[in-house]
Amino acid sequence: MQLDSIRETYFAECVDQLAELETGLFTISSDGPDIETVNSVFRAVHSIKGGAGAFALDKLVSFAHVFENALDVIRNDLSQSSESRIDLLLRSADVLTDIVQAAKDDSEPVDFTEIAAELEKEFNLEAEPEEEEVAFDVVPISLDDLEIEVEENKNRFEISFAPKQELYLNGHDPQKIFRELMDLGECTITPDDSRVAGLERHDLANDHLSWTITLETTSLENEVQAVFEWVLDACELDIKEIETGSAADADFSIDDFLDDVSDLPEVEEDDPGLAPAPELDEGVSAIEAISEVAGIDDLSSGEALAGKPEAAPSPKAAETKEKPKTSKSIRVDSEKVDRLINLMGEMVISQSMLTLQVNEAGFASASPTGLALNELQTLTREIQSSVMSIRAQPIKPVFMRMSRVVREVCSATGKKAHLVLEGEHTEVDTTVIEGLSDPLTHMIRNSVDHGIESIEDRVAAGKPEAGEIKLVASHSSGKIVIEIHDDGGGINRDKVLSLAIDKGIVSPEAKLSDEEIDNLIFAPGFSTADEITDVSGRGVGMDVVRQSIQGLGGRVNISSIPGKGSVFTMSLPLTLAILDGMLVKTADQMFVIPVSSMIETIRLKSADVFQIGDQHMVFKLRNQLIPIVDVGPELGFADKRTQYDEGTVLVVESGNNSMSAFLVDSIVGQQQVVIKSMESNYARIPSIAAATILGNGRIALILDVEEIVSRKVREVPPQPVLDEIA
Amino acid sequence: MSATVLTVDDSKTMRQMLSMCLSGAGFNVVTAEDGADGIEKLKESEPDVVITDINMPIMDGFEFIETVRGGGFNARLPILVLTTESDAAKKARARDAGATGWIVKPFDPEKLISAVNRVAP
Amino acid sequence: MSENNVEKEEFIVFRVGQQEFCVEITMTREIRGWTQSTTLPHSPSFLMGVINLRGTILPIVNLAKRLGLPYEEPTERHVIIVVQVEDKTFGMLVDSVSDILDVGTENLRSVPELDTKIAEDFFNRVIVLEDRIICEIIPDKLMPDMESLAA
Repeated sequence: MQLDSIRETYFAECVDQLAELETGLFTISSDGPDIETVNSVFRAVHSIKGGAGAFALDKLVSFAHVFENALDVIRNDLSQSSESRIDLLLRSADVLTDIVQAAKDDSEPVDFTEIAAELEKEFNLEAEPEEEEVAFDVVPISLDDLEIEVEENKNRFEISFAPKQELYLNGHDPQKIFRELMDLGECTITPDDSRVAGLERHDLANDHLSWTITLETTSLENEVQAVFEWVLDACELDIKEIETGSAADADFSIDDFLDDVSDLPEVEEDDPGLAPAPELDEGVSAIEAISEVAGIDDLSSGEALAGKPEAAPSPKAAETKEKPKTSKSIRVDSEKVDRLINLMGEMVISQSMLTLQVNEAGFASASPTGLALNELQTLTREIQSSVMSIRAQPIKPVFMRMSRVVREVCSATGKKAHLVLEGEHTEVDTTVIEGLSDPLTHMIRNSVDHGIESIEDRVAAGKPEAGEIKLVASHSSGKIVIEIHDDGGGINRDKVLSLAIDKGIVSPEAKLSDEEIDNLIFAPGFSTADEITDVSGRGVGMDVVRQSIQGLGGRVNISSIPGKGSVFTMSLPLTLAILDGMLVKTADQMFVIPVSSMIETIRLKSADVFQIGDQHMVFKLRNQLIPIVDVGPELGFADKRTQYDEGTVLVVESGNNSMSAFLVDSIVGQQQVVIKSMESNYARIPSIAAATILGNGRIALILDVEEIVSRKVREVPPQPVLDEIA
Repeated sequence: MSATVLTVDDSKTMRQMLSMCLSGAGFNVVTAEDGADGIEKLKESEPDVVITDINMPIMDGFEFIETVRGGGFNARLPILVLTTESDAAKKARARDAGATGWIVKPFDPEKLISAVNRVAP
Repeated sequence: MSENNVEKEEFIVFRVGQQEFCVEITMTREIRGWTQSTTLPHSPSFLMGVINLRGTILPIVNLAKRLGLPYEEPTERHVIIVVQVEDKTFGMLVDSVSDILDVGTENLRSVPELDTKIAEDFFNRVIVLEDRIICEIIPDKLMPDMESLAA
């Protein structure tokens, strides 16, 4: 049904409005109020309310109404804005978001009485009196009464109606008003031209026809009054109910009136707002006089303008034309963009396949074929980046959502903190933005909950009461880097290390650098139920955060300065659609290893391989020992090697800066691959990040390096030091 | 020929609602997203009635009406204002700007149609 | 169910080994020949792997293995029936497609109580014809349980 689709539109729009609202409030809280922003914030709430009314979402309407009134206070006087008020408005925005969500899901309504009361108090809003519409409520009458009224009680009104010029200027037309009166009952309309002076003495503002109308109707006075609702201030109006008696002294019936109208088409054309006076020579001259007056209108009417193109448009109109077009954009169904990106992916595949075959056919790169191919390659790359930029969006909306997270954690923990954004206009593919929200939320929670100290501790340490969480986004070498800075206490390394030892994550003898200790908070099993507070908990530890970021093809780590705070740094690919991959072959199958995680490739020599314990193999690279991950057996596709004299080692780095040596049979080459989800038709598979389709149409799996390494780390004691085996 | 109504509202929801109600009642509907867009559409489509929201970005409803009344357009074009406010000051301001009448949001489809019929040619 | 049995359902009938099975034709998307699949690690043995179906990744279930029947290595003569269950699409590897049948409700029976988990898990109804018995497969049940997989 159409209404359902409008409802969908409404909620989709609400999402935009809520974002606008939050962004605006946030801007006000950091930069102070300016009327533009306050207006846009007001408009957002206003629109939400308007649509909610249309769908009879009463709760939403009533809260939006209070919200709107509060905003109106600031809109009318910017000096009414204060930190505590904006804070309250921000919290109200959160509640509004929840109410919208509840309305959308048709779920349990959100209780907003408390915050609404707070708004009313803070902004000195008067408790709403009954809606003024009450005045128009129809007095209930029983059917019996009604019948009697219909049968016998016709009311008779005498209406004197004298339009002012304004009435005509506002697009009203007495004829239409008469038309409505005629719908109510029997009318007799008598024009009175006594106020229309002759040509020489006419007065623009006052010279208009007036009418006396007698109306016989079953309608009540307020219904008659309602006909004039829109012109009350634009006319002199007197409605008198008169005793039902003789059929009045009407000397001019409505039929005659209409006949006369049709006799005067010219006047009707020029300005029907000035209704013709019937008969009387004087009347006709009056019409002419008024037509002259109406010439003012004619000058500016469409036809006149067309005839005299040079006629100066009003300053307002000119202004409108000059208004700069806000960056021209078109709305495109996101499915179309996705399809374009998919096709572009196929093109990248075909292109790399072609390159492969041309090379195999032995064309030199300087040959015409080679050059043309090179050209194609460049074009493909350019098209690819243009296509990807279509779907790129500023990261701001996700960042904005974090301000709510900060507020919530603060109110749950009794801490104070504010969020500062930097580089929020940095653009990134929507797929990344979508995946980023959850891990970012957890990290922000963690930063406030574990990073920022209590107010007392902060004051004792000579810091301001309110902590600062800074979210920074930037582009760096084809990746987006997101940092979360907090000015809290930093990581308590002794505590982290002893916890990690207690939990068996590291061996008591292990010597770890500060950085390694800091990054232990990401270790699987580090944060367990008893450390998880209500706030950052929700059953998610930092290991899950790391995993989900790795799932996006990114990395995260932390650095910390005791007493000064910590910085989480995430780097993520700009898109989840395409990946620079190293195509490798092992166990008779092709795999892709993301180039982003590779450090170098080395041909395997048995002299570089050592065994530690009964089954762990390590690869000696210069004077470092790197655990070997033999990809075939690791995936269960091949038996464990007995000889380590063939194959290639890819040294990869995982998020916590530990290295692994991925062992494969051979390297096929580097190429861009289009990422295809395994989940869309199947499920997430351990060790596999996604799949891709090769030039020959076969599927190759993309290895989840981070996951393979982190699983390996759990099996292997961390970082054996070189002299231990010497 | 059925009358053409131009609706000017920044909310897509409202535009859709208005279109649905009006076209259901046999009107031709043209939509615009804000006042400035409304001016453009006014030139293109020469509507018989305009319904406009007040609170809009770029050019609000008051400015839109003032611009239309300021000249260059059909001087007797009825312009109805959509408003959620029962605020008398708002209505007065709309009237001062040159509005013909108003429709209170949320509107009842029947009332909307009767309001439009009231001013439609 | 109407009394006069005008209601007919359409099934696609296929062979696995010596037996015939079928699925409702409304669930099938297409039928295609066997192509070499890419094996997935950490997956149940009846999941043959994935193939490229016009740019999407299509998992393939070896129906013989899934039903615990004897199976042979797939050849070019084998057939993949692509079925869709909710928003997931996957392929069933079968020996051959034998028929498309319009079956009236009078020929549809519920599965007899058998002392086998397979029947209970995978069969919906049985088409009983004069000389044939064809079990209807419930495709939903063929794919591995995603949750246990993730664990």
